[in-house]
Amino acid sequence: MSGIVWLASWPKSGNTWVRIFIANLLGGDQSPAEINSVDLSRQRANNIQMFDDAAGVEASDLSEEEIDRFRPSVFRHLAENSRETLFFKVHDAYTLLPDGEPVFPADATTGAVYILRNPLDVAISFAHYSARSVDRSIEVLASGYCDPRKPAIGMLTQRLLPWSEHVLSWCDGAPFPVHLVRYEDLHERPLEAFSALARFCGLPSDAASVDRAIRHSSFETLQAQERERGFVEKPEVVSAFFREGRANAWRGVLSDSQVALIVGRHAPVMRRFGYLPL
Amino acid sequence: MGQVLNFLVCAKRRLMSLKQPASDPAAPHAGYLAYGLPILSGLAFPELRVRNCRDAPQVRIHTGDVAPELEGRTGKGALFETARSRFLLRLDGIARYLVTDGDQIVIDPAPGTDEDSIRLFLLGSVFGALLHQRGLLPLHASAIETARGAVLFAGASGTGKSTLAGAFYRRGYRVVADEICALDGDRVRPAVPRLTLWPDAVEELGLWSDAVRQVRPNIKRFHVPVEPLTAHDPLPVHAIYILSLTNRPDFAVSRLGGVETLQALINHTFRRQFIALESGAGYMSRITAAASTIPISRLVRSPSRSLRETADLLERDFTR
Repeated sequence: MSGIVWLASWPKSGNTWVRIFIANLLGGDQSPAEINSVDLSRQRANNIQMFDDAAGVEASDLSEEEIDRFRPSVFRHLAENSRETLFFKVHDAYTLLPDGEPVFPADATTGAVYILRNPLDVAISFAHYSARSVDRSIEVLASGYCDPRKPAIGMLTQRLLPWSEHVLSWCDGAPFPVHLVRYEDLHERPLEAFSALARFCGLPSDAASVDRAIRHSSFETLQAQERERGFVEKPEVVSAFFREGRANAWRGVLSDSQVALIVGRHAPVMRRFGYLPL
Repeated sequence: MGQVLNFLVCAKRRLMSLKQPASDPAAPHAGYLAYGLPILSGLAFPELRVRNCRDAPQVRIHTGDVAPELEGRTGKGALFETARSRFLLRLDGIARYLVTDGDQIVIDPAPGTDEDSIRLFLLGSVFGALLHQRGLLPLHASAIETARGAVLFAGASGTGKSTLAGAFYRRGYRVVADEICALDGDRVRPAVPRLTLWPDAVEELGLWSDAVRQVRPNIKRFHVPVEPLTAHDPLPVHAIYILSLTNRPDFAVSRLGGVETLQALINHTFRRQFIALESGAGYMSRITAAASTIPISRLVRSPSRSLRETADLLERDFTR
């Protein structure tokens, strides 16, 4: 059996970028991978269709508790039946079910890539993506949220802890290898950061392959593809998914009091991962 | 108000355990009809048509012990196993179901499981497995009766199959099937006279009534009983529409051709993974036969398109 590599992050932290990079690395093609390809959109841990197909019953006939109870079996089944490593995007925190079993079972897992982004930038990006105010977005970073099941777009419930606790749940809480990658490093030192990620995932990590995959998943390429053909994961309420793709965009956007609120809530984790001092 | 009342009615329903010895001669058995199959059952099915079939049932349903694994299995999913002419669904905390030879279903309920839950999975996945075993072609689709024959709406979960059937029901069409459409050659067999809808769809369609029931306790989806068809016979299929959603402003019906029709039927086969390895060849020949005789089109729409607009577009297309 091969296993699952979880691509875990808070929303708007570069998860989609990493998935598209991996798709390009796996494809190894001369042209960029299609961002709307079925494989990319299916590879989400909370994909309802994937759950229904593997379980043999519909999630919509099950309670949240029953879905949680059956999810580990679904992930084990998928891992057992795939010859290749499976890469699943996940925004849920790493948590245990009431019976003590983890939602993301270690015996179906190869490891996790945790993608981390400065919460000062996440606050802005998340506000745009979810059509919330930045203040509301800051509150959500502080309190966490439960994104309810959305059958119309095929998503199971996602349970997010507050930003700090979310980071720690995966980085300190998961009993399998976790490779931490900072969004900012993907921008500033792409070859080094993406090569390390590729090595962790057991993917081709020679400079030529990594460099080509980086170019094929560049922000400009993704934006151009979205302009031309749209992007399946874009919420209907927003105009574009690939909006700015910049690190450290918060300066000049967040007010001093907004910065103080975020830092006040998340200082220990921000300091640990190099986001403090500012 | 209807919704609130309905919750109360559902909440008050008596929960009971069904388990009885399989051979209990005193167990009451009643006859029903679904998918053209006379069914003799120890479990009551208020949603099915009653049919006296004590003499020649084609499907027997009873309770009994079901082992947690299938001997000699040739395929499996997370919660099910398949073998030649056998299928096991294992829903821990709800029930285990064993389907054999396309004519027998054994239910092994977990302690305290309510009857609504048992019937919901039985008339869903479990019946789907039975239809596969019988050599029918179950599609994940709803269907309505039109003057030109049955029109099917297939699609992934959440694409609005049942809601559309409901919209046409409100326009005076009869519902042939929902969730599972059993194709028998180029005909479809009438299924269960009901629609399964989310509460916002029941609301939008104005279908709240005392007869509307939660599909099972704690699940906010609803069974809406509908007027049954006047005849029980299979209906010729006039058209199949594959529903898909997009976040772009697209809104159009396009006819599929060649290999696309095969792919569409394969993609929208109800629980294709339930087909035992040994039955794959028969399945492919059914797919090919259906694709060669039934017109199949795709409707792509943005969720912001109203139900009325969508039904209008489809109605124009299938009455053309």
